[in-house]
Amino acid sequence: MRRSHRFLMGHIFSTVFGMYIVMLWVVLVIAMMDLPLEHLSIAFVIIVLPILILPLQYKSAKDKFGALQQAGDALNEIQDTLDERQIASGLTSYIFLIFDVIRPGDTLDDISSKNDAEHLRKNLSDLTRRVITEVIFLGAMYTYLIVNFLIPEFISAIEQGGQLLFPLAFLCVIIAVMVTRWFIFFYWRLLVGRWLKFYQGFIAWGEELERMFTGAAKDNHGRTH
Amino acid sequence: MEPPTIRPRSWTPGPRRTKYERWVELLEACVWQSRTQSWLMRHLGLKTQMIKEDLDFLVAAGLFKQVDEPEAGIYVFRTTEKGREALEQFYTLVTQFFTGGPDSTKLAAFLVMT
Repeated sequence: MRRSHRFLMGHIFSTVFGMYIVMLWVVLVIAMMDLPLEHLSIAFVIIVLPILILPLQYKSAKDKFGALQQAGDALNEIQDTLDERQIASGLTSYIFLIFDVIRPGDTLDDISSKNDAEHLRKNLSDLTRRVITEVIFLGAMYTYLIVNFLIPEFISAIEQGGQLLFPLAFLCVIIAVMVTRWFIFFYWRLLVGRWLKFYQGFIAWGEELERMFTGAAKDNHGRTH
Repeated sequence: MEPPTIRPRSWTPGPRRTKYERWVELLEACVWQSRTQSWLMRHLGLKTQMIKEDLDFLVAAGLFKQVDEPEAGIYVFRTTEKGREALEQFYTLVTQFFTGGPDSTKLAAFLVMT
């Protein structure tokens, strides 16, 4: 259960990190264009950008946070009933809530389960491809930044007796944010994969049920759905 | 077999449920006590046409039975023994999922591979 809740946390962090990614790209572009990274521009990136991005992310963040909140309430209720009766009440609903989270958002009511699982698998592959592309691009940008900006900055600072702390801290923060983002993404992806496997098992259960009982349904009513 | 699960108060049914999810919810809701069609619609958030189709299938398949009709137009349903067995298979699946091995080794392998 805790694992599934961590999965939902990762789902939310993906939105939060989206904001950081835009901020980091702006910082990197400023640095690569050799513009002075003065306090004002840093303040702009850190304070103004999230405010500008916030309305764009509001709906997605609200939906995701809503799912986490519902899951949390559901888990609390399950826990309460376990205390009283040793029965995991609400577990099925909780599982279906997670299904809702992992399913792509553009499917309609009464969806085809098989296509849905395939669609989800494809979405997950696309997302992984995008993150790997991001890793490669940012890796190239960092290399460029370190070679053309930070190393000359260090050398110049050492020669002139300036402070090394700021560029070093700046680099560390960027790397820490990116590594955390990638770690959370890959962990989230691992958990989605696990849920997907379970989802496929569930669909197989449904199909088997349908296959077994469609004949019975025909015999009883002479019609199927 | 475990007693049925009950939808938590905070739960809002998702609009994108598959028919299999609806079947589980219906089977589960009626496994310990009989429920009217309107109760099921209200608590499971199902539309009239959809619940009719699902109930038709479940009844025809022998997973559900219509127990009585206390008033004209009031339909009451209950999960049959066959329905309980189907539900048991679903619970087995759930148990297997939640008692699976730890993720840490898989995570390490996954990170190494990527």
